[in-house]
Amino acid sequence: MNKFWTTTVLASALFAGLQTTVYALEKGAIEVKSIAEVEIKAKNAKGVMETKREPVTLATPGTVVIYTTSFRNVSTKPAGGISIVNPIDKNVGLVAGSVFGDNTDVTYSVDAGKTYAAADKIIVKTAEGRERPALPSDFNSIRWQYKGDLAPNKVGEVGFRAVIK
Amino acid sequence: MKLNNLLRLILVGALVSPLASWAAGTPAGTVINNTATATYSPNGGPTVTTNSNAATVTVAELINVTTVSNDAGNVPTVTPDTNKVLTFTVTNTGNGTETFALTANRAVAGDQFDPTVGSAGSIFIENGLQAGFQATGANADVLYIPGSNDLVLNANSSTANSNIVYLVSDIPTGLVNNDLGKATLTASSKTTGAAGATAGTTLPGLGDGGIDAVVGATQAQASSTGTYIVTAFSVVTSKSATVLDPFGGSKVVPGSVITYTITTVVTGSGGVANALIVNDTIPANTTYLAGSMKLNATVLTDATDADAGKFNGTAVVVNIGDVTATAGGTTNTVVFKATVN
Repeated sequence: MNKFWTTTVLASALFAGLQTTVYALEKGAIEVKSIAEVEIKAKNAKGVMETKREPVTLATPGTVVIYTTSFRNVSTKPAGGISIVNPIDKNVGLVAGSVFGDNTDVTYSVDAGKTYAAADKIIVKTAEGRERPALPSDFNSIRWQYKGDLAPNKVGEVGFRAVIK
Repeated sequence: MKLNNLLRLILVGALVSPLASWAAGTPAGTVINNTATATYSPNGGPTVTTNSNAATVTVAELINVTTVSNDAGNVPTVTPDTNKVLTFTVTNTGNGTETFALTANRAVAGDQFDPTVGSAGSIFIENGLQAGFQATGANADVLYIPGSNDLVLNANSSTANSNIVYLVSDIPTGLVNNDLGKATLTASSKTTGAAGATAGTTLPGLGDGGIDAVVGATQAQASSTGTYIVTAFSVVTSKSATVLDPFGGSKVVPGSVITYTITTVVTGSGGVANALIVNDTIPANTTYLAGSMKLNATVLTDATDADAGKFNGTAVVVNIGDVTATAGGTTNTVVFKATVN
Protein backbone atom coordinates (compact mmCIF):
# COMPACT_ATOMS: atom_id res chain seq x y z
CA MET A 1 0.00 0.00 0.00
CA ASN A 2 2.72 2.37 1.02
CA LYS A 3 4.69 1.48 -2.06
CA PHE A 4 1.72 2.12 -4.33
CA TRP A 5 1.23 5.57 -2.84
CA THR A 6 4.86 6.51 -3.47
CA THR A 7 4.59 5.47 -7.07
CA THR A 8 1.46 7.47 -7.57
CA VAL A 9 3.01 10.60 -6.10
CA LEU A 10 6.06 10.19 -8.30
CA ALA A 11 3.86 9.74 -11.34
CA SER A 12 1.90 12.85 -10.41
CA ALA A 13 5.06 14.84 -9.96
CA LEU A 14 6.36 13.69 -13.32
CA PHE A 15 3.07 14.53 -14.95
CA ALA A 16 3.11 17.95 -13.34
CA GLY A 17 6.64 18.53 -14.55
CA LEU A 18 5.67 17.70 -18.09
CA GLN A 19 2.85 20.19 -17.91
CA THR A 20 5.28 22.83 -16.56
CA THR A 21 2.65 23.90 -14.10
CA VAL A 22 4.64 22.98 -11.01
CA TYR A 23 4.77 26.58 -9.85
CA ALA A 24 1.03 26.88 -10.22
CA LEU A 25 0.64 24.25 -7.55
CA GLU A 26 2.71 26.22 -5.08
CA LYS A 27 0.60 28.26 -2.71
CA GLY A 28 1.06 32.03 -2.90
CA ALA A 29 2.75 31.80 -6.30
CA ILE A 30 2.78 34.29 -9.13
CA GLU A 31 2.64 32.87 -12.62
CA VAL A 32 4.65 34.87 -15.15
CA LYS A 33 4.25 34.64 -18.91
CA SER A 34 6.10 36.41 -21.67
CA ILE A 35 4.87 36.76 -25.19
CA ALA A 36 6.35 38.37 -28.29
CA GLU A 37 3.87 39.74 -30.78
CA VAL A 38 3.74 41.91 -33.85
CA GLU A 39 1.03 44.20 -35.06
CA ILE A 40 -0.50 43.04 -38.31
CA LYS A 41 -2.45 45.33 -40.55
CA ALA A 42 -4.89 43.33 -42.62
CA LYS A 43 -8.31 43.70 -44.11
CA ASN A 44 -11.09 42.02 -42.20
CA ALA A 45 -14.06 40.19 -43.71
CA LYS A 46 -15.71 43.55 -44.40
CA GLY A 47 -12.67 44.81 -46.26
CA VAL A 48 -11.75 47.31 -43.56
CA MET A 49 -8.11 47.61 -42.54
CA GLU A 50 -7.63 46.36 -39.02
CA THR A 51 -4.66 46.26 -36.74
CA LYS A 52 -4.34 43.14 -34.69
CA ARG A 53 -1.64 41.36 -32.79
CA GLU A 54 -0.17 38.01 -33.66
CA PRO A 55 2.49 36.00 -31.86
CA VAL A 56 5.82 36.11 -33.70
CA THR A 57 8.69 33.63 -33.75
CA LEU A 58 10.56 34.74 -36.88
CA ALA A 59 11.02 38.32 -38.00
CA THR A 60 13.32 40.47 -40.06
CA PRO A 61 15.42 43.44 -38.89
CA GLY A 62 13.24 46.52 -38.59
CA THR A 63 10.29 44.59 -37.18
CA VAL A 64 8.68 46.15 -34.13
CA VAL A 65 8.09 43.42 -31.55
CA ILE A 66 5.64 43.94 -28.70
CA TYR A 67 6.83 42.15 -25.58
CA THR A 68 4.18 41.61 -22.95
CA THR A 69 4.71 40.09 -19.54
CA SER A 70 1.61 39.03 -17.67
CA PHE A 71 1.69 38.02 -14.01
CA ARG A 72 -1.18 36.28 -12.31
CA ASN A 73 -1.66 35.60 -8.65
CA VAL A 74 -2.60 31.94 -8.78
CA SER A 75 -2.71 31.56 -5.01
CA THR A 76 -5.51 32.27 -2.60
CA LYS A 77 -3.61 34.99 -0.74
CA PRO A 78 -2.63 38.48 -1.88
CA ALA A 79 0.95 38.97 -3.09
CA GLY A 80 2.83 42.19 -2.44
CA GLY A 81 6.10 43.81 -3.39
CA ILE A 82 5.76 42.57 -6.95
CA SER A 83 8.56 43.66 -9.21
CA ILE A 84 8.89 42.63 -12.85
CA VAL A 85 12.28 42.93 -14.50
CA ASN A 86 12.70 42.57 -18.24
CA PRO A 87 16.11 42.80 -19.84
CA ILE A 88 16.25 44.32 -23.33
CA ASP A 89 18.22 42.15 -25.71
CA LYS A 90 21.18 43.88 -27.36
CA ASN A 91 19.72 43.09 -30.77
CA VAL A 92 16.59 45.13 -30.16
CA GLY A 93 16.10 48.78 -29.33
CA LEU A 94 13.38 50.09 -27.04
CA VAL A 95 10.81 52.17 -28.89
CA ALA A 96 10.45 55.56 -27.20
CA GLY A 97 7.22 55.97 -25.28
CA SER A 98 6.19 52.35 -25.74
CA VAL A 99 6.55 51.09 -22.17
CA PHE A 100 3.21 50.24 -20.58
CA GLY A 101 2.02 48.82 -17.27
CA ASP A 102 -1.04 49.91 -15.27
CA ASN A 103 -0.57 50.59 -11.58
CA THR A 104 3.21 50.35 -11.76
CA ASP A 105 6.23 52.55 -11.21
CA VAL A 106 8.59 52.11 -14.13
CA THR A 107 12.34 52.57 -13.82
CA TYR A 108 15.15 51.87 -16.24
CA SER A 109 18.66 50.56 -16.17
CA VAL A 110 21.64 51.25 -18.39
CA ASP A 111 23.90 48.83 -16.47
CA ALA A 112 22.07 45.57 -17.14
CA GLY A 113 19.93 45.77 -14.05
CA LYS A 114 22.45 46.71 -11.38
CA THR A 115 20.72 50.02 -10.77
CA TYR A 116 17.37 51.44 -11.80
CA ALA A 117 16.15 55.02 -11.98
CA ALA A 118 13.47 57.11 -13.65
CA ALA A 119 14.19 57.61 -17.34
CA ASP A 120 14.85 61.33 -16.99
CA LYS A 121 17.25 60.82 -14.11
CA ILE A 122 19.71 58.61 -15.94
CA ILE A 123 22.89 60.16 -17.32
CA VAL A 124 25.18 58.26 -19.66
CA LYS A 125 28.67 59.03 -20.84
CA THR A 126 29.37 59.33 -24.53
CA ALA A 127 32.43 57.80 -26.17
CA GLU A 128 34.08 61.21 -25.87
CA GLY A 129 33.44 61.23 -22.13
CA ARG A 130 30.68 63.83 -22.21
CA GLU A 131 27.56 63.31 -20.14
CA ARG A 132 24.12 63.37 -21.65
CA PRO A 133 20.61 62.25 -20.67
CA ALA A 134 19.92 58.61 -21.51
CA LEU A 135 17.97 57.82 -24.65
CA PRO A 136 15.51 54.93 -24.93
CA SER A 137 18.13 53.08 -26.97
CA ASP A 138 20.52 53.21 -24.00
CA PHE A 139 18.25 51.23 -21.70
CA ASN A 140 19.03 47.56 -21.37
CA SER A 141 16.59 46.63 -18.62
CA ILE A 142 13.18 47.79 -17.46
CA ARG A 143 11.67 47.31 -14.00
CA TRP A 144 7.98 47.63 -13.14
CA GLN A 145 7.10 47.87 -9.44
CA TYR A 146 3.47 47.02 -8.85
CA LYS A 147 1.75 49.35 -6.41
CA GLY A 148 0.09 47.55 -3.55
CA ASP A 149 -0.96 43.90 -3.48
CA LEU A 150 -2.13 41.76 -6.33
CA ALA A 151 -5.28 40.01 -5.20
CA PRO A 152 -5.79 36.29 -5.84
CA ASN A 153 -6.59 35.42 -9.44
CA LYS A 154 -5.85 38.97 -10.57
CA VAL A 155 -3.56 39.57 -13.55
CA GLY A 156 -1.19 42.43 -14.15
CA GLU A 157 0.29 43.21 -17.52
CA VAL A 158 3.40 45.17 -18.41
CA GLY A 159 5.40 45.44 -21.58
CA PHE A 160 7.21 47.43 -24.20
CA ARG A 161 7.88 47.63 -27.91
CA ALA A 162 11.29 47.07 -29.35
CA VAL A 163 12.55 47.19 -32.91
CA ILE A 164 14.89 44.48 -34.15
CA LYS A 165 18.16 46.15 -35.04
CA MET B 1 -0.70 25.89 -38.81
CA LYS B 2 2.26 25.92 -41.10
CA LEU B 3 0.34 27.93 -43.67
CA ASN B 4 -0.76 30.26 -40.93
CA ASN B 5 2.85 30.83 -39.93
CA LEU B 6 3.81 31.45 -43.50
CA LEU B 7 1.04 33.95 -43.96
CA ARG B 8 2.08 35.70 -40.80
CA LEU B 9 5.65 36.05 -41.96
CA ILE B 10 4.54 37.44 -45.26
CA LEU B 11 2.53 40.04 -43.44
CA VAL B 12 5.38 40.85 -41.10
CA GLY B 13 7.63 41.28 -44.08
CA ALA B 14 5.17 43.60 -45.73
CA LEU B 15 4.92 45.57 -42.54
CA VAL B 16 8.64 46.13 -42.15
CA SER B 17 9.40 46.84 -45.77
CA PRO B 18 9.50 50.62 -45.33
CA LEU B 19 12.37 50.13 -42.91
CA ALA B 20 14.10 47.51 -44.98
CA SER B 21 16.55 49.92 -46.52
CA TRP B 22 18.52 49.71 -43.29
CA ALA B 23 21.93 48.35 -43.97
CA ALA B 24 22.34 44.78 -42.87
CA GLY B 25 20.89 44.68 -39.36
CA THR B 26 20.95 41.88 -36.83
CA PRO B 27 22.49 38.83 -38.49
CA ALA B 28 20.11 36.25 -39.90
CA GLY B 29 19.60 33.35 -37.50
CA THR B 30 20.16 35.41 -34.36
CA VAL B 31 17.90 34.22 -31.55
CA ILE B 32 16.44 37.00 -29.45
CA ASN B 33 15.18 35.74 -26.11
CA ASN B 34 13.01 37.66 -23.74
CA THR B 35 12.57 36.32 -20.25
CA ALA B 36 10.94 38.41 -17.56
CA THR B 37 11.66 37.90 -13.87
CA ALA B 38 9.13 38.55 -11.14
CA THR B 39 10.01 38.99 -7.50
CA TYR B 40 7.27 39.24 -4.90
CA SER B 41 6.26 38.50 -1.34
CA PRO B 42 3.46 35.99 -1.08
CA ASN B 43 1.15 37.10 1.66
CA GLY B 44 3.83 39.20 3.31
CA GLY B 45 6.26 36.30 3.42
CA PRO B 46 9.87 36.13 2.23
CA THR B 47 10.70 37.29 -1.29
CA VAL B 48 10.28 34.76 -4.04
CA THR B 49 11.73 35.01 -7.57
CA THR B 50 10.24 33.36 -10.62
CA ASN B 51 11.03 33.53 -14.32
CA SER B 52 8.69 33.64 -17.23
CA ASN B 53 9.00 31.43 -20.26
CA ALA B 54 11.38 32.75 -22.89
CA ALA B 55 9.56 34.54 -25.66
CA THR B 56 11.85 33.75 -28.57
CA VAL B 57 12.12 35.57 -31.85
CA THR B 58 14.56 34.31 -34.46
CA VAL B 59 15.86 36.82 -36.96
CA ALA B 60 14.97 35.77 -40.48
CA GLU B 61 17.26 36.48 -43.40
CA LEU B 62 16.26 39.65 -45.17
CA ILE B 63 17.44 39.65 -48.77
CA ASN B 64 18.24 43.15 -49.95
CA VAL B 65 20.72 44.57 -52.40
CA THR B 66 21.57 47.91 -53.95
CA THR B 67 23.44 48.74 -57.13
CA VAL B 68 24.64 52.29 -57.70
CA SER B 69 26.61 53.93 -60.48
CA ASN B 70 29.93 55.34 -59.32
CA ASP B 71 30.43 57.50 -62.38
CA ALA B 72 30.26 61.23 -61.70
CA GLY B 73 28.27 61.75 -64.89
CA ASN B 74 28.15 60.55 -68.45
CA VAL B 75 31.33 58.69 -69.37
CA PRO B 76 32.97 60.36 -72.37
CA THR B 77 33.93 58.23 -75.33
CA VAL B 78 34.82 58.67 -78.96
CA THR B 79 33.49 56.76 -81.94
CA PRO B 80 34.56 54.02 -82.29
CA ASP B 81 36.25 53.02 -79.05
CA THR B 82 37.02 49.85 -77.10
CA ASN B 83 36.73 48.75 -73.47
CA LYS B 84 35.03 51.82 -72.10
CA VAL B 85 34.11 51.31 -68.47
CA LEU B 86 30.99 52.05 -66.44
CA THR B 87 31.62 51.53 -62.71
CA PHE B 88 29.07 50.30 -60.17
CA THR B 89 28.98 49.32 -56.51
CA VAL B 90 26.85 46.35 -55.51
CA THR B 91 26.03 46.28 -51.80
CA ASN B 92 24.39 43.52 -49.78
CA THR B 93 22.00 45.46 -47.57
CA GLY B 94 20.42 42.31 -46.18
CA ASN B 95 21.42 40.60 -42.97
CA GLY B 96 22.77 37.33 -44.31
CA THR B 97 25.41 36.07 -46.67
CA GLU B 98 23.96 36.20 -50.15
CA THR B 99 25.07 35.27 -53.64
CA PHE B 100 24.26 37.60 -56.50
CA ALA B 101 24.29 37.05 -60.25
CA LEU B 102 25.29 39.96 -62.46
CA THR B 103 23.79 40.82 -65.81
CA ALA B 104 24.46 43.62 -68.27
CA ASN B 105 21.84 45.13 -70.54
CA ARG B 106 23.25 47.34 -73.27
CA ALA B 107 19.97 47.65 -75.22
CA VAL B 108 18.47 50.30 -72.99
CA ALA B 109 15.76 52.53 -74.38
CA GLY B 110 16.09 56.29 -74.48
CA ASP B 111 19.51 56.66 -76.01
CA GLN B 112 21.06 57.03 -79.46
CA PHE B 113 23.22 53.93 -79.63
CA ASP B 114 23.75 50.56 -78.03
CA PRO B 115 27.23 49.85 -76.73
CA THR B 116 28.48 46.33 -77.48
CA VAL B 117 30.16 43.81 -75.21
CA GLY B 118 33.71 44.95 -74.48
CA SER B 119 36.55 43.29 -76.38
CA ALA B 120 38.11 42.44 -73.04
CA GLY B 121 34.88 40.98 -71.64
CA SER B 122 31.45 42.11 -70.49
CA ILE B 123 31.63 42.42 -66.70
CA PHE B 124 34.63 42.53 -64.40
CA ILE B 125 34.85 42.44 -60.60
CA GLU B 126 37.41 44.62 -58.85
CA ASN B 127 40.06 42.39 -57.31
CA GLY B 128 41.12 45.00 -54.80
CA LEU B 129 44.73 45.26 -55.94
CA GLN B 130 44.48 48.51 -57.84
CA ALA B 131 41.60 50.94 -57.94
CA GLY B 132 39.97 51.36 -61.33
CA PHE B 133 39.58 48.90 -64.16
CA GLN B 134 42.53 46.90 -65.38
CA ALA B 135 41.83 44.39 -68.15
CA THR B 136 45.27 42.85 -68.08
CA GLY B 137 48.51 42.86 -66.12
CA ALA B 138 49.46 41.95 -62.58
CA ASN B 139 46.49 43.78 -61.09
CA ALA B 140 43.98 42.64 -63.70
CA ASP B 141 40.42 42.59 -62.42
CA VAL B 142 38.41 39.39 -62.51
CA LEU B 143 36.28 38.58 -65.53
CA TYR B 144 32.81 37.68 -64.33
CA ILE B 145 31.53 34.33 -65.53
CA PRO B 146 27.88 33.73 -64.57
CA GLY B 147 27.44 30.72 -62.32
CA SER B 148 31.19 30.42 -61.85
CA ASN B 149 32.22 33.43 -59.80
CA ASP B 150 28.93 34.97 -58.78
CA LEU B 151 29.23 37.75 -56.25
CA VAL B 152 29.12 36.34 -52.69
CA LEU B 153 28.61 39.24 -50.30
CA ASN B 154 28.60 39.12 -46.53
CA ALA B 155 26.24 41.12 -44.43
CA ASN B 156 27.21 43.33 -41.53
CA SER B 157 30.58 44.40 -42.76
CA SER B 158 31.26 47.72 -44.33
CA THR B 159 34.10 46.39 -46.43
CA ALA B 160 33.05 42.88 -47.32
CA ASN B 161 29.45 43.59 -48.11
CA SER B 162 29.99 45.62 -51.22
CA ASN B 163 31.87 45.15 -54.40
CA ILE B 164 32.98 47.27 -57.28
CA VAL B 165 31.80 45.98 -60.64
CA TYR B 166 32.91 47.19 -64.07
CA LEU B 167 30.62 47.01 -67.07
CA VAL B 168 32.93 47.09 -70.08
CA SER B 169 31.72 48.03 -73.56
CA ASP B 170 32.97 48.75 -77.03
CA ILE B 171 31.57 51.82 -78.76
CA PRO B 172 30.32 51.55 -82.36
CA THR B 173 31.64 53.62 -85.20
CA GLY B 174 29.73 56.31 -87.04
CA LEU B 175 28.24 58.09 -84.04
CA VAL B 176 27.95 61.83 -83.73
CA ASN B 177 28.63 64.24 -80.92
CA ASN B 178 26.38 64.02 -77.87
CA ASP B 179 25.04 60.61 -78.81
CA LEU B 180 24.22 58.72 -75.62
CA GLY B 181 24.57 54.98 -75.07
CA LYS B 182 23.13 53.53 -71.88
CA ALA B 183 23.95 50.25 -70.17
CA THR B 184 22.41 48.74 -67.05
CA LEU B 185 24.03 46.46 -64.48
CA THR B 186 21.68 44.25 -62.49
CA ALA B 187 22.59 42.23 -59.41
CA SER B 188 20.04 39.53 -58.56
CA SER B 189 19.92 37.26 -55.55
CA LYS B 190 20.50 33.65 -56.51
CA THR B 191 18.21 32.40 -53.74
CA THR B 192 15.51 30.49 -55.58
CA GLY B 193 12.41 32.60 -56.07
CA ALA B 194 13.87 35.71 -54.49
CA ALA B 195 14.82 37.99 -57.36
CA GLY B 196 11.86 40.09 -58.43
CA ALA B 197 9.49 38.62 -55.85
CA THR B 198 7.12 40.96 -54.03
CA ALA B 199 8.67 42.53 -50.95
CA GLY B 200 7.70 40.49 -47.92
CA THR B 201 7.59 37.15 -49.74
CA THR B 202 8.82 34.38 -47.46
CA LEU B 203 11.04 31.67 -48.83
CA PRO B 204 10.81 28.85 -46.29
CA GLY B 205 14.16 27.37 -45.31
CA LEU B 206 16.14 29.27 -47.95
CA GLY B 207 17.87 31.70 -45.59
CA ASP B 208 21.25 31.38 -43.91
CA GLY B 209 21.49 28.16 -41.92
CA GLY B 210 18.12 26.95 -43.22
CA ILE B 211 15.98 29.63 -41.60
CA ASP B 212 13.33 31.36 -43.64
CA ALA B 213 14.38 34.13 -45.98
CA VAL B 214 12.24 37.19 -46.56
CA VAL B 215 12.46 39.28 -49.70
CA GLY B 216 13.18 42.88 -48.76
CA ALA B 217 12.06 46.17 -50.24
CA THR B 218 14.59 45.94 -53.07
CA GLN B 219 12.92 42.71 -54.22
CA ALA B 220 16.27 40.92 -54.01
CA GLN B 221 17.59 42.60 -57.12
CA ALA B 222 18.94 46.00 -57.98
CA SER B 223 19.88 47.78 -61.18
CA SER B 224 21.72 50.91 -62.04
CA THR B 225 22.30 52.53 -65.40
CA GLY B 226 25.39 54.29 -66.63
CA THR B 227 25.69 56.35 -69.79
CA TYR B 228 28.36 56.78 -72.41
CA ILE B 229 28.44 60.09 -74.27
CA VAL B 230 30.18 60.60 -77.58
CA THR B 231 32.39 63.61 -77.24
CA ALA B 232 34.17 63.42 -80.59
CA PHE B 233 35.58 66.80 -81.57
CA SER B 234 37.14 68.40 -84.61
CA VAL B 235 40.17 70.65 -84.82
CA VAL B 236 40.15 72.95 -87.80
CA THR B 237 43.22 75.02 -88.52
CA SER B 238 43.32 77.89 -90.97
CA LYS B 239 46.10 80.22 -91.95
CA SER B 240 45.96 83.62 -93.53
CA ALA B 241 48.57 86.19 -94.47
CA THR B 242 48.60 89.94 -94.94
CA VAL B 243 51.45 91.81 -96.55
CA LEU B 244 52.71 95.30 -95.84
CA ASP B 245 55.36 96.48 -98.26
CA PRO B 246 57.92 99.19 -97.46
CA PHE B 247 55.85 101.68 -99.42
CA GLY B 248 52.63 101.19 -97.48
CA GLY B 249 51.16 98.85 -100.10
CA SER B 250 50.62 95.12 -100.08
CA LYS B 251 53.14 93.92 -102.65
CA VAL B 252 55.53 91.11 -101.83
CA VAL B 253 58.92 92.71 -102.36
CA PRO B 254 62.12 92.45 -100.38
CA GLY B 255 61.51 94.18 -97.10
CA SER B 256 57.78 93.48 -97.08
CA VAL B 257 56.43 92.22 -93.75
CA ILE B 258 54.04 89.32 -93.92
CA THR B 259 51.71 88.86 -90.95
CA TYR B 260 50.58 85.24 -90.58
CA THR B 261 47.46 84.41 -88.60
CA ILE B 262 46.89 80.77 -87.65
CA THR B 263 43.51 79.98 -86.19
CA THR B 264 42.56 76.66 -84.50
CA VAL B 265 38.94 75.96 -83.76
CA VAL B 266 38.03 72.95 -81.57
CA THR B 267 34.37 72.07 -82.03
CA GLY B 268 32.52 69.32 -80.18
CA SER B 269 30.48 68.46 -77.14
CA GLY B 270 32.87 68.73 -74.27
CA GLY B 271 35.74 66.58 -75.47
CA VAL B 272 39.24 67.81 -74.83
CA ALA B 273 41.92 68.27 -77.46
CA ASN B 274 44.97 67.47 -75.39
CA ALA B 275 48.27 69.36 -75.78
CA LEU B 276 47.32 71.25 -78.88
CA ILE B 277 50.48 72.63 -80.56
CA VAL B 278 50.76 75.04 -83.49
CA ASN B 279 54.03 74.44 -85.34
CA ASP B 280 54.65 76.62 -88.38
CA THR B 281 57.91 76.61 -90.32
CA ILE B 282 58.99 80.02 -91.57
CA PRO B 283 58.62 80.02 -95.37
CA ALA B 284 61.67 80.01 -97.61
CA ASN B 285 63.06 83.43 -98.53
CA THR B 286 61.61 85.02 -95.45
CA THR B 287 63.05 85.77 -92.02
CA TYR B 288 61.13 85.53 -88.79
CA LEU B 289 60.60 88.98 -87.28
CA ALA B 290 61.90 88.65 -83.73
CA GLY B 291 59.42 89.39 -80.98
CA SER B 292 56.40 89.26 -83.28
CA MET B 293 54.75 86.13 -81.84
CA LYS B 294 51.32 86.42 -80.15
CA LEU B 295 48.81 83.97 -78.79
CA ASN B 296 45.32 85.44 -78.54
CA ALA B 297 46.85 88.93 -78.62
CA THR B 298 49.29 88.16 -75.80
CA VAL B 299 52.90 88.67 -76.79
CA LEU B 300 55.10 85.61 -76.43
CA THR B 301 58.87 85.70 -76.17
CA ASP B 302 60.97 83.87 -78.74
CA ALA B 303 63.01 82.10 -76.11
CA THR B 304 62.32 78.60 -74.79
CA ASP B 305 60.87 79.58 -71.45
CA ALA B 306 57.77 79.55 -69.31
CA ASP B 307 55.43 81.06 -71.85
CA ALA B 308 53.72 78.99 -74.51
CA GLY B 309 55.72 80.11 -77.52
CA LYS B 310 59.22 79.82 -78.92
CA PHE B 311 61.07 80.35 -82.20
CA ASN B 312 63.43 77.43 -82.66
CA GLY B 313 65.36 78.87 -85.59
CA THR B 314 63.21 77.37 -88.30
CA ALA B 315 59.67 77.33 -86.96
CA VAL B 316 57.28 79.11 -84.65
CA VAL B 317 56.04 76.66 -82.02
CA VAL B 318 53.14 77.60 -79.75
CA ASN B 319 52.01 75.13 -77.14
CA ILE B 320 48.35 76.02 -76.67
CA GLY B 321 47.71 73.14 -74.26
CA ASP B 322 44.44 71.32 -73.54
CA VAL B 323 41.46 72.81 -75.33
CA THR B 324 37.93 71.85 -74.38
CA ALA B 325 35.66 71.53 -77.36
CA THR B 326 32.49 73.60 -77.39
CA ALA B 327 29.49 73.49 -79.64
CA GLY B 328 30.28 76.89 -81.11
CA GLY B 329 34.00 76.13 -81.35
CA THR B 330 36.84 77.16 -79.08
CA THR B 331 39.19 79.43 -81.01
CA ASN B 332 42.89 80.10 -80.44
CA THR B 333 44.76 82.52 -82.63
CA VAL B 334 48.53 82.59 -83.18
CA VAL B 335 50.05 85.57 -84.98
CA PHE B 336 53.64 86.11 -86.10
CA LYS B 337 55.46 88.14 -88.71
CA ALA B 338 58.18 87.39 -91.25
CA THR B 339 60.19 89.71 -93.50
CA VAL B 340 60.69 88.97 -97.18
CA ASN B 341 64.39 88.63 -97.93
